[in-house]
Amino acid sequence: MKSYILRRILRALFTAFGVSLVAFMILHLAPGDPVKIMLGPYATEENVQALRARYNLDKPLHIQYLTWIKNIFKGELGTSIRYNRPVGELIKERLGPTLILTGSGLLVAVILGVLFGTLAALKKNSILDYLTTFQTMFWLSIPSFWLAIVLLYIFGLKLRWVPIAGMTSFSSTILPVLTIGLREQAWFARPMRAEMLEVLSQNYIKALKAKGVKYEKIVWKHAFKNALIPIITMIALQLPWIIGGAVVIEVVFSWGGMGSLLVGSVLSRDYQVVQTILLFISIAVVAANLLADILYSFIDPRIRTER
Amino acid sequence: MKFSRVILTVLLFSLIAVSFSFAAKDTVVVAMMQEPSKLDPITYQDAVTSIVLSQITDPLIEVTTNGNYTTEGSVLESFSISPDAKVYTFKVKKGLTFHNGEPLTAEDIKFTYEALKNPELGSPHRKYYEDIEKIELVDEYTLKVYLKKPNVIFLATAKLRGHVLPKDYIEKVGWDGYMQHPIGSGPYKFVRYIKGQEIVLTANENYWGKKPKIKNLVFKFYPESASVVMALQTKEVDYVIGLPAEDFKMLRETAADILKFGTYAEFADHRIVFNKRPDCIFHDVRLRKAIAYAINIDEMIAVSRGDMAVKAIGRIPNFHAAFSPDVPTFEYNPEKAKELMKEAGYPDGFKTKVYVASSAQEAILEAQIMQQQLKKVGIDLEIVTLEWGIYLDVTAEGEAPMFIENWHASGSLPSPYTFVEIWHSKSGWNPVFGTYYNPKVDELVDKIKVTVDPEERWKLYREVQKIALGDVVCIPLYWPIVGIAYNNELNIPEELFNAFKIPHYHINEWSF
Repeated sequence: MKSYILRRILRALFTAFGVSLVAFMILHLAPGDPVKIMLGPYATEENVQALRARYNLDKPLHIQYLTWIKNIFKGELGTSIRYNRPVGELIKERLGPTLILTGSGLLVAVILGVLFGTLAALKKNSILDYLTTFQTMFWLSIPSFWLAIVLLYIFGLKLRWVPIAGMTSFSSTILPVLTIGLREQAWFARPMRAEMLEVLSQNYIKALKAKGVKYEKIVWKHAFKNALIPIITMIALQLPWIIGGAVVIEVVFSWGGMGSLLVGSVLSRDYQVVQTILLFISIAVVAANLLADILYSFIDPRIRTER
Repeated sequence: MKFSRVILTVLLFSLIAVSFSFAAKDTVVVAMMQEPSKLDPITYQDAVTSIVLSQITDPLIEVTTNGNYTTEGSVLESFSISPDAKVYTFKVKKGLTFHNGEPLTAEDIKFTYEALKNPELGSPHRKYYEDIEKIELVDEYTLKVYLKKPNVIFLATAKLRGHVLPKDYIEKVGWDGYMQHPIGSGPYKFVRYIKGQEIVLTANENYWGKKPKIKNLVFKFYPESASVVMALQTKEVDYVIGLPAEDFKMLRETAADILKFGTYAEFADHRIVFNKRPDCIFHDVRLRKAIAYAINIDEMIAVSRGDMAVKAIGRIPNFHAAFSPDVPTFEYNPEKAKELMKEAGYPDGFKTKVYVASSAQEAILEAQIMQQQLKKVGIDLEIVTLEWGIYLDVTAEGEAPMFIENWHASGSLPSPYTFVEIWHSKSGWNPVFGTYYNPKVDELVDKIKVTVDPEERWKLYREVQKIALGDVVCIPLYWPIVGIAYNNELNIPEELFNAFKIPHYHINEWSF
């Protein structure tokens, strides 16, 4: 068991390192010079050189990469070119709003997904079942950016139920959370339905029925609990998608989290900020995967022996 | 039971929130499409930071709607320039105070000048202050700035980017402390800044100038234009800074019942620049003229800007006192173009290229129209589109025979000088814009710097434009117009729709 976990952690570290390298290369090889974007077209050569030197941009690429990685291990995340402030400070400010958004979105998604999945399984082949299949396909096939703008148009502009943007009041959080929730619940509803059906066809359920246990009790106490276990690992796997999707949603709803910071930084080629956020996200993805793997190995001992 | 209670609470909350946002109008919400980098009055590069800080602080000098310098609206009582244009005397208004109650004196102005000059603080405008030899405090309210060499353009920098800073306060709290809570002598006081959300200011009841009519001023950030357009329609925001021209036009068509619209011409111009180096075909002035005759500027503007531009006559915009109405212009005349080409030895036309930056959508459209128009006189034009950074390098190195340029004279440095200085043979910009040498132009540009009398100075600007544009150093196309859409309950004085005023730099004059 220990060696399995250790192996998985090593592999995860290697993946995170690879992602950081790719992110760094893509960013630096893309055209556009952050210093020129910042200083404007008519900056003097002297100013440009001074700023380059200040942000280490005058060094060869591999040196820049190694310096960056070295500093990360020292706990220094670098300085933003655009904000002229430590990257760590910027991310700390923005992390809270992003966690609130993704956390509530995930919560809504899990509740709705589990609810719809369970109901669809209990009423298999009913109208409700078909509707669930339809609605999950529907949400999965529309892009979240478009969904966000349509929701804004209907509930913000036409019905005026909620404000268009901002994150100062409770009502302004409804639409962004719903945008995440509606799409993501589809990911949970379908496996939940399948799991529930499978559990309900198990022999021990039949045995309980034969013993004369009440149907409600069988469903909720025995079947539901068991069907829920795989969903927990699914949450871990789905988390990175939610964080990634939140980037776009934050921009549409003027949500001042990491997503809008990331988009603004890409546009101004603020390398340090983009690199660090991408590294954060990749570590989150890898960690979530690792967690899912380990959780699985606890639930299903057969997995441990595999390579 | 529980569930319905949750729903009820949710509804109640949203009701409170909704009713709150439509409460009595003592708050104006201004949307920005970008968040300020940080509230540092010395190092900022972005217009949004300048806008926020300009509500909190006052400029040392102001500019009238036609570009003349004035003390009205500035902290100065009066200013004078010595006849040799080397000594500037500033007299500060008495009785001005910063938001913390401390008086504003000549010492604060000296402090601000020195901060902008200080290489360690790293102001991007530092080079404009390098000419300062010394700053002398005559008395509490009088200050003399001595320059190393005569330079009237220095007055433009006297605006101090719009921010006279409080010396004692900054020395006490430090620059970082100042950015956390900036103060000044301006019409609005800083209340709070919630990162990623909003900046809140409140009216300075003791303001010495035009007292704000709206009590609270809130800046919010909307990075997505689709959202800000909707927020404007629900009146969640009252005014948008940096609304894209396309969205402005769309709102003008569809939302005229709930919004008001205003426009002003920017202190900027769009033009075609020629590479005049000897190895380039456009070294020959006859071919430059031929291009000028062969293009139809009206047609270009109609496609690229519609009614959001004014056709240019000369480079300096027509609302500025240095505008020159009688510079040589070349009305569309393909026959004349052909004649000039024959004279220059190209009776059957020639091949050439125009370079544009890929981010400049308008310039790309203009280049395409140009391509069609030049084809009619036998010129085969290739359009080269390059990424912004590469475009800058390539055009500066003289690789592009022609390129389409947008020149914006900076808002915090409102001088027409940059429009003509680039033609001086010693200017750093000269090679960037295709090189140009005319001793008469050099002489006039030098003279502008030492001419203290504004009327005389404006005359020189007119003259230098006449000569350079007679040499077709470039072809001025148009002066761009900015469109502003705002809540129709909001009243913004008409005279603020001017490049030297700009409505969002004078929010204290707005009212509901």
